[in-house]
Amino acid sequence: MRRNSHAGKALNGGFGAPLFTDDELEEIHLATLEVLENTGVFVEDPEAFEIFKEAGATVDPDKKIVKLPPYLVEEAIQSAPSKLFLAGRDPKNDVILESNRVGFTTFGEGVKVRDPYTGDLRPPTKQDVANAAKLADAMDEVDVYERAVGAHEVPQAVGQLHNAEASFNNTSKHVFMGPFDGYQLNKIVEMATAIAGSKEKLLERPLITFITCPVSPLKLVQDTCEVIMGAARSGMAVNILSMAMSGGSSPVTLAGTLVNHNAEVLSGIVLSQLTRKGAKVIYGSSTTAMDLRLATASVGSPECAMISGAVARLARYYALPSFVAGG
Amino acid sequence: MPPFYEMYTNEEIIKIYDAALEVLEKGGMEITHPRALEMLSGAGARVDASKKRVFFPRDMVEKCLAMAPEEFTCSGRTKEFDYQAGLNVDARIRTASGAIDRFDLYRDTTARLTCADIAEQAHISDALTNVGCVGSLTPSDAPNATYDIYSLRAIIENTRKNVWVLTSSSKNLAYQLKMLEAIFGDKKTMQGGRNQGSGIFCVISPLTIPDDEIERAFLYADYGLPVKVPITTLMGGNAPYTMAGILAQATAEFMGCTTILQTIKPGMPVWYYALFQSLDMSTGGVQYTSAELQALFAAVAQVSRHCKIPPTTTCTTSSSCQAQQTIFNLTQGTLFNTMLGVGEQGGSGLDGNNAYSPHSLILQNEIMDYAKRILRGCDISDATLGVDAICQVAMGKKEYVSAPHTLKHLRTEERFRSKLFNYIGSKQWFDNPTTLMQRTDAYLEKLKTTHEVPPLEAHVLKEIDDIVKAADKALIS
Repeated sequence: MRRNSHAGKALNGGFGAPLFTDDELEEIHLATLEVLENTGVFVEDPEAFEIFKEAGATVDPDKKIVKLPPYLVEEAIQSAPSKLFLAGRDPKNDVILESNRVGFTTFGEGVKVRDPYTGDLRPPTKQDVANAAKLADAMDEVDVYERAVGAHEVPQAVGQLHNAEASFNNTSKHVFMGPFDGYQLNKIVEMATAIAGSKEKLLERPLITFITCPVSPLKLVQDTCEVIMGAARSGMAVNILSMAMSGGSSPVTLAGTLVNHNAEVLSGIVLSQLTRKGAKVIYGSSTTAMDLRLATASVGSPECAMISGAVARLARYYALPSFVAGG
Repeated sequence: MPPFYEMYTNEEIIKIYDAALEVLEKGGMEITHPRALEMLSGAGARVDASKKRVFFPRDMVEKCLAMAPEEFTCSGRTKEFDYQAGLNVDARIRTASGAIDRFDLYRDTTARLTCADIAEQAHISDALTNVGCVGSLTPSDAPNATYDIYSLRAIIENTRKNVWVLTSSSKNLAYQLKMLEAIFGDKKTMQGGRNQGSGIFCVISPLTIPDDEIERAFLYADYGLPVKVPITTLMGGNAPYTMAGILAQATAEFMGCTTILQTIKPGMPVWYYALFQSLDMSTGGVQYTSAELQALFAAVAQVSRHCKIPPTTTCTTSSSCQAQQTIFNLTQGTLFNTMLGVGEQGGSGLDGNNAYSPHSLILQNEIMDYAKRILRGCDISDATLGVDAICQVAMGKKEYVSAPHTLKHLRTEERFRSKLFNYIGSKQWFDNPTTLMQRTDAYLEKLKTTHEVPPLEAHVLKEIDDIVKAADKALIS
């Protein structure tokens, strides 16, 4: 029997569950624009406040409130890149982040370690940061290393520099970390520059992505502003990751929480793009539901999975790379 | 309609479908049952008696596929326990079937199954909301010749759910169906759909139908039971090693069986049951759960949608009854199958389905609740988007815990309340450090001691016992 060739054949490279329609995403987007325009966000950092003001935002200096006209938000979404190149110290560990490419990472920052040998729950040390980095380096399916824990025995004012040192020295994969403030961010960039060989080489092969969290509801606090602006100026990417808790720091309805979450992340993206047009951002989430009976964050619940699913869809709606927390 | 995953393109599904039709037309099936051969020949099949093969023309197969209903009701003892089989239905579990051991996942102990264990599975299944169908197990304390009759006796007394009536022979099946008839009063009622049962029609891979399967099919048809068609192809063993190849053979076997069943009784409800296994060529071991098998189940779900016939899959684990491995297998299988839109999935079988575990069944029920919660999504409307509430809190007029928006939606906005899983912090956990298996065991004990199944009427039970005695007398030599 002859089996002639197909004239063309569509190949399926994966699958996804259509949990939200485009119309529903648009409804969340429009509600977000309304919140950003009419209510605005609290901006603690004076320099960030001025950047918003100069770009045309309506500001209230007494209350430190910045209200964003929709065009500023839409322009920021447009100018943020859709595709990121994340370099590893070893080029074989380079990663591309875009659209619906799915990758895996460790998540941080854990404030305790379950000791694998004794079973004890104890504060993490710099050695634990190094061990976690080394373990992640060995795991085939872990694409990048976000420092899983933070060293507690080092001076906390420069704790992230110790964490960066332990991470860079123990994984050849791309490193994600929260620098906590602008000072430490700049120092970590210097460390990455030393590893890369020069500023130019670091821009060609960016070894680090920063992470920062707005404070729910709707606050870009000092450190968050410093990290967003510092990342934009350094040419490194920043993962703007909201951690709203539905019923606690955001509405009890999941739809309302998505609006709150979206407003926080988009306001951070606007600041990033106003600092340097085309700056690299990731649309992030560790938002979940709060169990109002126990006052705990129910990470791992079906509601957390649904929020993460919606966040991934929103990021694709905006053509931005995304990052969500797991269980 | 809940959302569901699709992994394959329509072109790929049609290619599988066409390949299966080609297998049936060119290769046919081995069938020797005289009455079936006569009926199939009359319906348009080409019968080669010398080679014991029946070849099915494409149009005959497609006509028979069209006769099978897209959706149908599976009867419980009472209507309250009915569930729907179909392509867009609420997912249900079919409990472990055929197992010979009971494994206690919490205590790590095992023992041969008894009729009391079978009664236990039926009893807790009656209480678990996601269980649609109770599978038949294999008791060690019943006569070998009539164990299936004893198994059914233990099940129907202890559950109002639908029962998968597994049987060892058509002779035994006749007694089993009489037992169900005792509950419903007469065969006509059963033929009308109230029968608390579903049947099984097995093909021996590759493409062989034993004579007694045909006899059983006539009996199921006579009593009006819907029939599952389990395809037990072993990748690389009795079916091609390639995943596409197994789909071609399995779909051919399913379509061939459906053609036979529809020829026996047009309109007979059937499921495409993917009970595929994978042969690990490096060890010779048989895997019931693997990433490859899940990818095949996804294809079966899509082929079933193409054929407009309900699919059913399995979540049986290949692990050696080790709790953490079992939980992983149950979770990935149940989540994946539910999100594929599979209406009925088997489960709670361990050790390659040689063992049943009540803990596993309870866990699977809970995992399915979790998956269904995700598929229910969330309401996105002006009221739930809560723009005004966000503005109020952001401007410092309220905080969310006591905001009017929270109070208004607190009871209407769904939050998954798990009976077994928890999301407490480490401090709270150390105050009361129970493990998932401990909580599952405690829940099992609670069900066993508090859940009540209304007893069958005394005269019905007596009639059933008389049937069992008659079977013993006739079948034990």
